[in-house]
Formats: sequence, structure tokens, C-alpha cells
Amino acid sequence: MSRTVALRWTRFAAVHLRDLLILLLGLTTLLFFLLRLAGDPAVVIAGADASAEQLAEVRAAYGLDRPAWQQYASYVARLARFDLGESLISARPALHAVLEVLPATLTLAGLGMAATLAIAVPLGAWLGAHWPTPARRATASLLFFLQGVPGFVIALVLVQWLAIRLGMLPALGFGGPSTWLLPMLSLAGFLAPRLARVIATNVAQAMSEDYIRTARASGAGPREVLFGHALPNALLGATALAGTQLAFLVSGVVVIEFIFAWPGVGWLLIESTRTLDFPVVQAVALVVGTLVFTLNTVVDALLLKLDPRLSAAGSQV
Amino acid sequence: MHRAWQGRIAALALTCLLAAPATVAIAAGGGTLRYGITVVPPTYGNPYGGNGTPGTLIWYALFDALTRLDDEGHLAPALALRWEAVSPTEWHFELRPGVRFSNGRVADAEAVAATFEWLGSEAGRRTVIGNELRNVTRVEVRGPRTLAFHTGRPDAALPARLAAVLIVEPASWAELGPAGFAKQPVGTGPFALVDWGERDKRAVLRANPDSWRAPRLDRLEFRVMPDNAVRLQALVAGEIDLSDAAVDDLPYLRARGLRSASAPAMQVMSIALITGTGQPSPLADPRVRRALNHAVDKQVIADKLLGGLGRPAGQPASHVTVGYDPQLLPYRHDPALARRLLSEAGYADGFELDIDVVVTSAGGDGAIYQVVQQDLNDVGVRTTLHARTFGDWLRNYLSGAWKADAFGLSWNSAPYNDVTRPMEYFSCRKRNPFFCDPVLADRLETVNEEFDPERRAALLRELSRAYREAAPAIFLVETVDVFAMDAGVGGFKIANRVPVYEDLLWTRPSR
Amino acid sequence: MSVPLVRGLRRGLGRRLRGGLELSLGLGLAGLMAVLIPLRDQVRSAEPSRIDLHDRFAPPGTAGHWLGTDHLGRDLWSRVLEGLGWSLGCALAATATALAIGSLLGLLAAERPGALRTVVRQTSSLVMAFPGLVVAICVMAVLGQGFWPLVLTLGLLTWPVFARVVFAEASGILARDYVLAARLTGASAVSILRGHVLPAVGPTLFVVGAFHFGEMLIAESALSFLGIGAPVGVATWGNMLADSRQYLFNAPWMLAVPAGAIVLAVLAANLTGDGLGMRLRIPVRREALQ
Repeated sequence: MSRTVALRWTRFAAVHLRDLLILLLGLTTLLFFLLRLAGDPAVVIAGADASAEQLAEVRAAYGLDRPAWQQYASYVARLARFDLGESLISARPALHAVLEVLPATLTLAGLGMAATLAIAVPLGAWLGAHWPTPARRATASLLFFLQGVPGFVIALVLVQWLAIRLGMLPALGFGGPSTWLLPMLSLAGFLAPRLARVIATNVAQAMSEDYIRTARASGAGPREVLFGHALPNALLGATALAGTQLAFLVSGVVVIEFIFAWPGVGWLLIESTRTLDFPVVQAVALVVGTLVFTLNTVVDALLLKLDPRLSAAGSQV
Repeated sequence: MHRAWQGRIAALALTCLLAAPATVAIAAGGGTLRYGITVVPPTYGNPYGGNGTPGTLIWYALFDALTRLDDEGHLAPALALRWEAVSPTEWHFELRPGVRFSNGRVADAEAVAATFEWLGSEAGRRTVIGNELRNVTRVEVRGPRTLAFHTGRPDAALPARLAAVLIVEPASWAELGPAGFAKQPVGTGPFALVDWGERDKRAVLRANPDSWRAPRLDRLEFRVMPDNAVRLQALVAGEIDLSDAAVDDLPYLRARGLRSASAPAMQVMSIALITGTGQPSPLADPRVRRALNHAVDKQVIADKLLGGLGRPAGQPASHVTVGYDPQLLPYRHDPALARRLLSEAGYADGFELDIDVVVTSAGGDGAIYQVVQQDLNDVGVRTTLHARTFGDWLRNYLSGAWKADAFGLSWNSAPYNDVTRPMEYFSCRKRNPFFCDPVLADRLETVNEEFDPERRAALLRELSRAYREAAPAIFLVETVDVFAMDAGVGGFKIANRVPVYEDLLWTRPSR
Repeated sequence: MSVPLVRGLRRGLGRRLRGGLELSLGLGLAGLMAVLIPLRDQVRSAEPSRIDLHDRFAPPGTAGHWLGTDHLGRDLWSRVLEGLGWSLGCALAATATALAIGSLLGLLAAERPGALRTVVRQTSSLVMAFPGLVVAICVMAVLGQGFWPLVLTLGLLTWPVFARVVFAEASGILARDYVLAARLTGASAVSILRGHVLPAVGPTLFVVGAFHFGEMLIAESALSFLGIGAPVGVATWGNMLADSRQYLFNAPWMLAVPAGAIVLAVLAANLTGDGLGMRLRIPVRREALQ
């Protein structure tokens, strides 16, 4: 028995490692050629008054004069040694530039997820535990409405009303905890409604299952039924969504970072695309890609651990 | 002693404080000032990666050049006290005595020459600043405080050009290399770097009390806030004390007790009309180019979009730049005249005009371009705006391989406030020119050979008139730099688009 | 999904049909917007792009500008109508592109086991694992701004959603006895796909497509908001939001108008998708599509 379990985990790891390699190679290849179509970084480095000779010199110095496939081959060869090259603009290792801003993004993602869970779990439990009352119905409709509001629109409205109209300052930038509030709320405002609705559905479903009836019949109070039986099962069912949301947060907070001037990966990405700093753009994509993939894998592993039936399901595209 | 044409220009006050200066008793000095900026220079403390803002916003606090522009736009001594042209191709510069770098090393002729030596090296010539010095053939140490500059062609504007070349401490530079030095820059400026503060986006500088322009503040902090709205909010909230600002936000800021100041940006915003590539184009006809100039209502742009701080333009120089001729009025806004000129040139039905523009996130340029688009459409020139990335725009600019008929380009006389700089790129002297009039190019050459400041200014005014007639661009407006600040900021002046850091002071209790 | 909630909601409003309330609200909103697109020239109050610098920042309720004007004095009601065509058209075209590519590949993978299926499966998980916005920014940098670049970028990055759904449904159907029987009697692959698979997959595609449309609408406005979507000056909702960014202090209506439009349009798409899913009893978990 334990051997089959070990075997299953080895296979799980092998498959995911292979997929990660495919992802990174695919991402590198796509971006490498896309970015080279996007512009010539030599002109940005040399400036508006550069002569043709200077451009040629810059291209030679940065290896931009070689055929694209040669540049690609040497980039991949360096990548295999975990060398992501240097920024064309600041001459610093591209990976450092990304790792420097990563904590800010992870902080934001973590805060967003925490707020999402803090709102969605109690709300979902409350909504799903009992038959609808007018208050529940109104909340459910509100959640449905909020589900359609993009996170960045929530962010803009929050900035407009809380920060500017009501003077609840400061709202922007990356400072102390007071600057965390609005970005956190924007992300949670976007993600929590979805999660709350799923938890509510799961709780409601669980409440009608046989084991709950059994628990009720054996004298468990409503509180115990909800928190001891229905909610844990509902949360298990919502793990997949929460995991996807966390992965989304890591890659999808670009716009939120932009709005709140949060000095994270999104900000770095926009800045380096503007200056055609290819190595940094690529490093951002690779780091974010790896991170998202890892998060998804961890969620998969968690689900596998919690619910071994899932491992049988391998027929998805 | 020949003080190369400095201080002889029609002097118009650069800085105009919009709100009455605060009537606070000036404190003894010290304190910290927090300045919200959009971005740390991409090359950090390596001052050769650019010749304007955002880089100079921090570099001018850390470094000095041999010369500099004062707050009225005049060339003034910096590390060099005096200079003279001993022949058309040789200049002597006498350095300021007793200047030291922030690490204590002496800034003598040897040290300054080392900077120019590196800029002339293979790696140095690749930089934006090294590239500007391509006419300098040799820099020679003639004494502990005397340097000789040799140029290939005569260059009357050399002292002004050198205002863009910031001097680095040579031992650190040699030891650390450009990338290492960028992280730990050492210069002669009023402040020295403590920390780039990358994690919290806060570059901290401390006073360099031994600087020849010793500051009145203890500390200067640059807070990186890429977004305009963020900076203004932080200013209102008292998180920063100084920021640039958009004209449209000034009423809001004033209502909250903040002060503002503005200064000409030494630029004339324009749409360059491509005629020099040999492609047949309606724009080849000067009547068409003048018609486009008459079509655009520059006054309403200056009044409404620049809040009356900018002014309509009709010549290459802004009104504070050498070569500006106050007699030359902007093209009158006259759509009927524009239509008449177009039909005289055979384009009664107008034509298609594609314009490549770079729109910054601040959005002010985008608004102006859209007004221009509408004004051109109204006289029958069917105009399309294409937003390009800066890299894309620059590639076309350098190669001359434009797909569009025109593109956004400012006549930028910064960083040394000399109109020959933008005139050169609106001429055959630019590689892959987009506008080429051999007569104008020859006249430009003679201007640079004229070393008498009065005669040079007169030649430039004549050239300005010729450029106005030739209309290689749709002249739009002279743009302005606008700053907003806490009422506790004192001694605020703007020189070369950057606050004069040594004069800044904080008049509230120290933080 | 969320059947108990909606059941309760519906009971309160006395509805009988499954998903009827959602569907009628969603289709009603969508219909209203669809009607406004061709009629926009009739109902608007000014040229959507007409600049009047003497009439900047007019607040809502100003005579002639009931939704106010923007920083260039352009009428916001006229612009929001103009953006209706642009933004909805873009989202629709992007959804159609993703749906076409995704269904085609999904069907192929279901029909042809072996190498092709492996390639489709790998490509689809590869594209799904892309950090979407990162790649979108790079693609737009190459293609330039505009309607079709935007449609292409969004379509090419989101097709796996449809490929997965179609593959799952189609392989189920292809394994049924009656399809095997049809195959044995010599029916061609095309006729099986057309006769058995498409009718069964179609309703699901509608539901997934409705949700996807909402997502594309958000994506369009986000990219335009970042300045890499629609061209400058064009009246799209994302561009209008981007403009509002610089005038948060003096013209809050510049934010409220396009934000309201986006929210209503996404709401219409979600209501339609939810209602349709319930009506057709398709257990689509839209969370899985994120």
C-alpha cells in the first residue's frame, strides 16, 4: 500500500516537473522572438542622438548583432545554468531585479488572499447554512452583482471615494499597513464574492447529505453541525478555487499594482517593456510562470492528499 | 577673459511662483525634504545613461558639471570658474579651487580629465553623454586647475554642452566599473547617497557639508511614485513635501494649502512633418506646411490645457532660449486661410495624414495631440494618431524608416538651453534626416563658428525666422514644468528643469 | 451553480422556470445594449470625439451633457455609446476567436487519439499556464494597438478554456454506444461530429461563451486602461477609464460613467450565462474557468 502511494507521488512529481520544463521552454521561446519583433533595445540604450556606428557598437557589445537563433541558443544555454542575463539598462542581473520586487507582490497577493478568505468563509457559511431570508437574498444578489465588477474598477472607485472624497489617507504607494487596506479590499472585492458563493453552495449541499442528517438525528446542535461537519467539507470543495485564485493573484495583480503604485512585479514588467529591457521582461515572465505553476501544483498535491479519488481522473485535456 | 556669451541673453525670469511665498520665519536649516518622483534613473547613479529628467532629478543632487544653467537659464560657472576659447578649436577651462568629492578626494584637473577620458573610450562613447561629446577630440591637463579641450569642428556652444557632462569620482569609477559605481555613486554635489532603498522605493541622500554648494537640508529623500495621482495624494496627505504636478490639478492643490511653481521646460512641442526622405508627399509643399500651422488653435491649447502657463509657439526656441526672437509671432489660428493655402497647393480636398506619437502615462501630451487631430480634420486633413512605444518611435527616428507622414517631436533646447541643438535634428546634419534644407544646414554650421555672443544670437534669430517660414513642423506650444509643494518648503528655485537642491530648505519643525 | 441561493431568490419573486429570472434580466440588459449600438447616432447628444476645450469637466446634469463631459469637453453619454460598439464588439470577436480555435482543437483531440491529442493537450496546458497579462503586454507591443490586435491577443491566449470543455464533452459522447454504432455503420467522422457531437456540445459552448464574453470585456478594458489596448482617443470604456485616472480629483464622473457601463455589461453576460446554465441544466462551474 505505502509503495503504491510512494509510486503515485513520484509519478506526480515527475509529471509536474516535466510540465514545468515544457512551460518554461515554451514561455522563453515565445517571448524571446516576440520581444525581438517588438523593437530594438540598442536604440534605447544609445539614445536619440546616436550615430549608426554607435548603434552598431552597442549591438555588438550586447550581442544584439548576431542572428536571432544564435542569440536564442546562447540564451537558453545560459538559462540552463540558471543565468537569466543582465538588464540591458542597468547592467544588473535580471533575476535580482525581479527578486527585489517579488516580496512586494507576494505581500499584496497574501494580503488579498487573507482578506478574501476572511470575508468569503463566514459569508459563505452564513448564506449556505439556512434557507434564504430577505437579508440572505439581498446579500446573494449583491454578491452576484459584485462578481461582475472587475478588480481594477473596484480599486479605482475605492480610491475615488474612500481616499479622495472622504479623505481616508493615505491610500496609495507601498508604505505601512495603512497603505495595504485599499489594495487588499480591491482584490478581496473581486475574489471574495466568487469564493463565498461556492462555499455557500457547498455548505447548502452538505447540509442535505445523509451524514448531516445522521449527525442531527444523534443530537448535534445546529452550530456543531455547521462548524463540525458541513463547513469543513464545503471548504475542502472550495480548495481548488482558492488555489486558482491565489495563483491568479500572483500574476494578475499587475493592474492593481499599477493603480496603487505598488512597487511589485507588475510595475517592473510595465517599466521594462517600455524600455525594451528584454532580459528583465523574460525574467519576470519566467519567475511569475514558475510561481503560478508551483502554486497550482501545490494545490493539486493538496487535493490529491485530501481526496485520493482525484488521482484517478486523468482524462482532462 | 572671454565669458562665452553667458548672461547676455534677453533675461526673462524663469521661475514664477504661482502662489504667494509662505511668510514663515525661516528656520535655522536642517531637516529632511521628501520629493516624490516617477522613477529612479534606470542607470541609477551612473550619470551617463541620459541627459535629462528623470535622471537629472537625482544626479544634479549628487554631481556637478563644469558649467551649469542657473535659474534664469543662463550659463553659469560650476566646477569650472572661467573658460575661454584660445582658438576656434581649443578651449581652456579653469577649475574652482578646493573642491572635493563626497569621499574626500580632491576634484582637480586630473580627476575631471579622467571622466572625459572614460567618455572617450569605447564603452564611454556608447553612452548617451559620451555620444554628445563626439566632437571633442582630446582633453588635456595643463595644470592642477587647468584643462584644455580640443574639438574637431569649431563649436561656440562647447561650454554650454559641457553642462550636460557630470563629473564622477575617478577612483571609485575605475574600481567599481559603471554598474558598481551606479550603486555607490560619488560626486561633488550638495548631497551624497546613503541608500537607493530599492525595497521601499525610497532613495535617501545625506547632506555633503563639504560640497562647494553646501546644502541647507540635512537629508533629501526621493520617494518613487510612478503615478501622478499617487504623488498628488501623498502630497496632500503630507507623505511627501514636493512633487511635479499636472496643471489641471493646481486648483485642487491650492485649495488644500499647497503651493506651486512653474518654469519653462525649454521645449517647443511640435509635430515634425516628414519631407526629407525623398518620398512624394503633400508636405513637400511649404504652403501645405504653413496651412497646417494655421489650422491649429495653439492659444486655446495654451490657455485650457496648459492652464495659461505655457504659451503658443511659432519658432524653434522657447522664450527663455538663446535665439528666441520676440518679433516672431506664432502662426495665426485661421482655418479659412489654411483651407485657401491647401487649395492653392492643389489639395482643396485635403489628404490623409498619419502621425506617430508617444503618449506618456501622464496623458497631457495625448490630450494636446487629440486637439491637433481635430483641428487638422476641420480643414480637411484627415488625421490619424498612432501611439507608439518610445523604443519603436526611436527606432524610426534613428533609421528614418517612418511609416507615418509626421511624428511628435519637441524642439528640445534642454539640457543646455541652446536652440542649435533642436535645429540640428531638424536639418540635413541629422543622420537619416526627416527634414533637409541645405541652405539652413549651412547657416547652422556658421552659427557654431561664431564665437561672439551678440553676433551669434543675432545669427540664431535670423535662423529662427527662416525655420518659421520653412515650417518643418507644426509649432504648438512652449511647455512648462509644474511643481507642487508643502508650504513648509522654502528656497524653491528651478534650474534646468530640476529644483536647485542646495537652496532648498524646510521651514517647519525638523522631522 | 449556487442552486439553493437562486432557488430562494426565485421563490421570493415568484418565478417558476429554472434560471428564468437570471436569463430574462441578462438577455434584457444585453438586448438593450444590442439595440443601442445601431441606434447610437440617433440617441447621442454630440459627436463622441468632438473636442470643445471651452466646455471641459462639465458635471453630469449640465444642459446638453446629461452625463457630463471629460477633460477635453467631449460628451460622455456619446462616448459611452460609442464605446458600447467598440468594447462589446471587441469582446464578442475575441470570444468568437477563442471559441472557434478552442472548439476546433477540442473536437480534433477528442476525435483523433494519439499524437494530435497529446499536442493539443500539451499546448493547451502550456497556454493556460502562461502568466496571461505578461504575455498579452508583449504581444500587444509587437502587434501595436488596435481592434484586431486586441482581438487576436485575447483570442489566442484564452482558447484552451473552450478546448477543455469541448474535449471533455465530446469524448464522453464519442464513447457512447449509439455513436459507436453509427461509426460501425460507416458514418464519416464529419457526419458524426455534426450529427451527434455538435448538438450536444453547443449549449455548453453558449454558457461558457457567455461567461467568457464577460471576461473578455474586463480584459479589454484592463489592457486599454494600461495604455496597451485600444488606440489613443478612440472612445472605448477602457480608454475612458484610463482618461479618468488623471482627473480623479476634479471629475469623478469621468470614472463613474465608463465603470458603470462595464459593470452593467459584465452583469448582463454573467446573468445570461448563469440563467442559461440553469435552464439547460448544464453544471458549468464558472470558477473553474478563471
